[in-house]
Amino acid sequence: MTRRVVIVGAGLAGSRCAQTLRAEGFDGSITLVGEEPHLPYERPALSKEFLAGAREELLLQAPSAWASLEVGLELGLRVERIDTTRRLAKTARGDFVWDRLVLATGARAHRPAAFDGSGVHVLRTLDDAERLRAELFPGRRLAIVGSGFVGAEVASTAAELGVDVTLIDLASLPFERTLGPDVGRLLASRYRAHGVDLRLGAGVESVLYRSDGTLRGLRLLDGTELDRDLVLVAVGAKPAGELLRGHPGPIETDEGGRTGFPGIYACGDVAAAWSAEHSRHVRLEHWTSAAGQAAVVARGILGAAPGARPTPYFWSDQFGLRLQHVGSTEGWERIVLDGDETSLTARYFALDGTLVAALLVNRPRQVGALRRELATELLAA
Amino acid sequence: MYRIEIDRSLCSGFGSCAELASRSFFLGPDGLAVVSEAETDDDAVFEAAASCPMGAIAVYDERDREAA
Repeated sequence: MTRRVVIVGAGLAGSRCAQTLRAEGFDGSITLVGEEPHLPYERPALSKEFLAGAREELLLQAPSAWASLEVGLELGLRVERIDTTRRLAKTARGDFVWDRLVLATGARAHRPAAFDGSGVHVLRTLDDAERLRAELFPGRRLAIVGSGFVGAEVASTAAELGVDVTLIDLASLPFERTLGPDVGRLLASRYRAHGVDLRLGAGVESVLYRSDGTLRGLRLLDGTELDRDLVLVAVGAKPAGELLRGHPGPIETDEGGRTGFPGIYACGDVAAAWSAEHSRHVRLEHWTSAAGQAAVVARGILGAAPGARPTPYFWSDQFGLRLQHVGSTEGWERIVLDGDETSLTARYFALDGTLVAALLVNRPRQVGALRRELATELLAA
Repeated sequence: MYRIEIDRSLCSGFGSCAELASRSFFLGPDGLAVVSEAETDDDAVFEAAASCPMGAIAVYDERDREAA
């Protein structure tokens, strides 16, 4: 009998798991432990509207809603370790006893050793975003290392704020591996048209400091020195699976979010769930995946039917473009493009001609139809 | 009964609402979601609101408190 559920991690996945448990009628105790001091909030805006100062309200639900759901929030608290035999989550505020444990610990911004000095930012949490936002004003010179979604979105927001932006990546085109070279070329020219100093095929050798310890800039691998006021390193996130693994990394689960340990589930950015479609564990850092997995885990805890896993989906707003991607960024061999840099559809096909993904740029009208088309292909596969 | 509102300036046309609560939502000719019955007793609207990646759907209860 499940009476006590402890959820570690108060991001979207952990919060949604708690909400779904209640929505499905669970009347035992739910404790949601979050390392950050803030009430559960939405992350996608951190690199966009929040960073731009255009949106302050990020809460996943009103503070009173947590009380009426009778979810015990333990915020600003880290679970130090878990005892899988005595079923304890150990913290500085004492031990939490669980019948079911949900690990929704997310991921931490990856900060390579060369970037651990002052003046170098990462962007993952609300506090990170506040620190970065305070430094973005007209005339500031920002170097961003990594042209993935966080790097590109911050570049867009910062350029809009009048910041002088340099975007650096080792790759020869942004998003070449995930979205393909044609889309990469379109995006690269878009970034440059918006005044971004885009440096591709470029790596960072070291961060440069003045004798007083303040940041001076970067030295690139080719010896170029760039004078900059601040640096954002946006080279991905490491799944925070240490409670179960002993060290960072993903936690593998079955399709229902169960780990190999009795009574322990994982969902969200930390979890690599078994995918029958790919015949391996797949970890997706998408909002919709975190929300969907959390609901699957909640229903699993209650012994209810899990419901369908959503087709992978993510979106990105950058440089006046809304990118919406449905399907898998892997396994495509051929791309069919239709449109130009201001409005396009890209369809990604596998060798056997199966549609595996689609990207829409400024074409929201087609998203619903493409989602249905992809879901049908996945069912047929 | 619940009352539903969509902020169409936030809607991105993802379409999960129309799938999960087809009685209450559909995708209009511009690809964005439309409320087909503003007042409903269908609990599926909660799932629809939760599934929206843009947080564009609000559900109010009979006392006009935001319920989702």
